[in-house]
Amino acid sequence: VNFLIVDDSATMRKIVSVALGGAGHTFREAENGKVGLALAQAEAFDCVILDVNMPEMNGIEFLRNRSANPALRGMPVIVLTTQDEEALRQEALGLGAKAFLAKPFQKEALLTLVGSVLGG
Amino acid sequence: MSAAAEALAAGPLDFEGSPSGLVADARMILPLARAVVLAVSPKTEAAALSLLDRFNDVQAVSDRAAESSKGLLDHVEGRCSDESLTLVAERSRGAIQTERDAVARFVEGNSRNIAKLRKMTAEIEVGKSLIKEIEEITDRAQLIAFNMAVEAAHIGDKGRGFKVIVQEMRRLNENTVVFSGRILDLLTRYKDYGVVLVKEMEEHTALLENEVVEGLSVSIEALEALISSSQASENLSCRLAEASMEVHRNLDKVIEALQFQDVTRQMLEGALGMLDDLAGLARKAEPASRGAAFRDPAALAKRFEKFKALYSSKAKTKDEKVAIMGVKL
Repeated sequence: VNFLIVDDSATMRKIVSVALGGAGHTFREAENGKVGLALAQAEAFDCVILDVNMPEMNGIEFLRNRSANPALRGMPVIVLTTQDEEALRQEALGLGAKAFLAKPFQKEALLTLVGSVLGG
Repeated sequence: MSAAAEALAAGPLDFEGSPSGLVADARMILPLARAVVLAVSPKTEAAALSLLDRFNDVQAVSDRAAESSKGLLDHVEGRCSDESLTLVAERSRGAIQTERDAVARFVEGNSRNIAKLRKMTAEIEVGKSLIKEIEEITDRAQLIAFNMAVEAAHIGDKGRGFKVIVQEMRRLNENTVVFSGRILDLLTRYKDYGVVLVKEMEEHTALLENEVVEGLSVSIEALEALISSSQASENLSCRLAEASMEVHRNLDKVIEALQFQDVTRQMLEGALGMLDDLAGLARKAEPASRGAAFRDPAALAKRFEKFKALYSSKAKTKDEKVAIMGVKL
């Protein structure tokens, strides 16, 4: 599975890749939405793990840009954020995110979501 | 004495009550607070990443150990085939036990045969003494024949018939002596064979008992050790698999715990934003409140050094001190 992890925290990017179980998967990392969007336009990803609160371009802006780009619309996105708010959840899902998970997350929860997103 | 120490030694730090003094103090303290907050994130992030890397390495090593152990066990226990080492070893142990019983029965039978041979040898000796008695009888018969020959000679022609009988008796006696001698030789050879046979049987039985039975015992011990090792390997493999699972569970907890570092970082970023806003407000307030506190740059510098010395002395860690002392006015 080819993952794109967009998060301004190097620790979180590492945690997510370790939680997804590195072996057999490839991981590309971006420190903000802008870099993530550039990577997504250049390369096809099976799944994007997206933070919300980031400099330059936050997760919501990333989702908006993704919706506006037909080539990226099919790319599944899981939002992973410390901002566990219902309004934000609805906004992210409304912009096409497949799932929404609050930090700190449990490995099993992330794996289950990734499994259902990829399986679906 | 350093400028900071001198400033601290000069006496306690009083905060001025005037708006000008407050703004000036705020503009000096805020960069110190900012430097301390900024020093936190990179260090904790580096520590968290390092911890995660190490734990990930431990998990990989643990997985490899468990996998290797399982592979070894599959190989040893023949889980990929029909033959398990333990089963083969147990069957061999049974076969060796059967062989040992057979050898024990053979040794026992041999001992009985040796006893019979000894008895037979003793009876041959009796036979030899009987032959000697026959020889004595023959000697006496020879003597009687001789006397009969003398008596026959005394009676002249009338004793001629006796003479023929005496000659026949002598011939019979001579034949008896020859056959007795042959039987004695035969019995002597039988006895010698019997003695050699007993000796060889005793030696071979001892060899069988000492070497073969001992060898079988060693084989059984080796098989027992093999079975025991196989069981120990299985136990070890199970323990390694449990340990590997435990490492996985621990890594899950580490993953959860380390996310709080990111939460802390974001909270610190929030605090930094507040400090920056406060610094902006102080900058805006400065022209309006520019009073005595801003007129003497030397006094400002001295006061700034005093703030640095004060907060450095209160710092709990070396990094905090370094961050404070690195800030310039």
